[in-house]
Amino acid sequence: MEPDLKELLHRKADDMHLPPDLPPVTLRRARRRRGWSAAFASMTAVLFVAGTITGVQLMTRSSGTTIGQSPAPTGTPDEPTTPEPAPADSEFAVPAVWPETNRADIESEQQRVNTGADRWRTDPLATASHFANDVAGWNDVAVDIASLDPIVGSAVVDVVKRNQVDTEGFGALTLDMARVARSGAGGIWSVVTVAPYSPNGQHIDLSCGTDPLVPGRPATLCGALPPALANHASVRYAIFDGDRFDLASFGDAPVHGTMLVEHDRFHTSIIGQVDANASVLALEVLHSSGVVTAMVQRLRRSGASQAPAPR
Amino acid sequence: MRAEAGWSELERVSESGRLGELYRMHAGDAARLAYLVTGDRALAEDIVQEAFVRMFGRFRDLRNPDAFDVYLRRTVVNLARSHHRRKKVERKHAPALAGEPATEPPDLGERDRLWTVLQSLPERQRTAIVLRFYEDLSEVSTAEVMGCPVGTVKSLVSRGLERLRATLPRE
Repeated sequence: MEPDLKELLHRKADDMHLPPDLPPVTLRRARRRRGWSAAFASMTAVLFVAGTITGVQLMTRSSGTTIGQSPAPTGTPDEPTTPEPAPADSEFAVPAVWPETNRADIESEQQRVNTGADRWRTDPLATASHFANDVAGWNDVAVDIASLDPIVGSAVVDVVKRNQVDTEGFGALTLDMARVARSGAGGIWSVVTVAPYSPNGQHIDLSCGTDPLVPGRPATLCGALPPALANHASVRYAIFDGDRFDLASFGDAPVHGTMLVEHDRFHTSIIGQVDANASVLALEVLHSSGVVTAMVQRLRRSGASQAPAPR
Repeated sequence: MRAEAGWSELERVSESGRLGELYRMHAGDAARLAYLVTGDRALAEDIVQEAFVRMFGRFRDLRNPDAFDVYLRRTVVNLARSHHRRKKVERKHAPALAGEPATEPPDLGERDRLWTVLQSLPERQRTAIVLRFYEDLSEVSTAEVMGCPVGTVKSLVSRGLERLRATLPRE
């Protein structure tokens, strides 16, 4: 049958024709896209510098003040929501990795949802389900809120693929989510980090004794999987640049590949160095059934460890 | 995707001209691949335009610019995959549309029946078969384009062929 199949494919392919020259509209779109990318890169650089200066000023003004993470979310889904004003420009941070990855897209999506479109974005559980479907390729999932702070606008959601044979981390994720564009009711939820869900506190360990993954430096990507996940597994990785990327398209990442897992360890050398604009590291643990769990996190530009904190 | 192009030749022309040149060299092959993977001519055309839009901002930074066709092929496959996923989500959340009739009526000729069955395969099986039997890629190269292990490619191709054989009448 293979010769027939080949012949058919070539015959069908010959039916497909395109205009011989690049359509002007495509060229315009390409230029516009690149212009936007350059503008956002510049804006990010300006915000980064402004943020650094503000941070230094704050620290020198009051050495007793600690600038750290938001308080841990402690609420429940039934807590009343108290709308808060949108954060000022200088406070706006874009930690999100899905669906939008940059400020302009998130704001634009928030405006679209405000008009009544895609209301599921205002529900962290529905947003988590969409993430599981679009990125992990899981069609039938159970989602559960582990914690929710509707006022701060943060949530931790566990996503479990149904019909799994165990709960040791096969087909399960924990999503850290946030209302990045606007806190309070009506704010859209975004995925901020992704980690394997493990009731036993096991996680993908990236602290393998070598240099941590830092943009602008040579790097080795290595680590270990929880024993329950390691058997017959491979690890697909992608390092995305900039503030526009698609987690559903690992192949589009400037650095990507697949590592075999030996015992419970994986290892690969990044050729050259990690691009200075690298922004996100994504790992998917694959078994023959597809993605069984994943990890996505922003890269830090300091030398801090990249290992995610266990839940 | 078989056109060969020396990157250095392209350095001489302007950036827009360069995109135009790359389009002339590779768009036809990319469109044929997109059409075989999606089975939809209009969608294939859209995918190719989008792929070139994406590549325009990126080809300066490609690690190996001579491998433009490889990057393009991968982008086309990923865009087709993203489209497929979006359609799946839309179908899931819009049950009223689930009963829409197929856009193309089935053909009765044996080869056309093979085409119809090919189009009904799961998207990843179809992509693997097209890359192996149309693009003549090795299993390793197919895995690289699809971003999955070689074993997965073997399994996708084998299951796809099995399904094609099972659906066709025995001689």
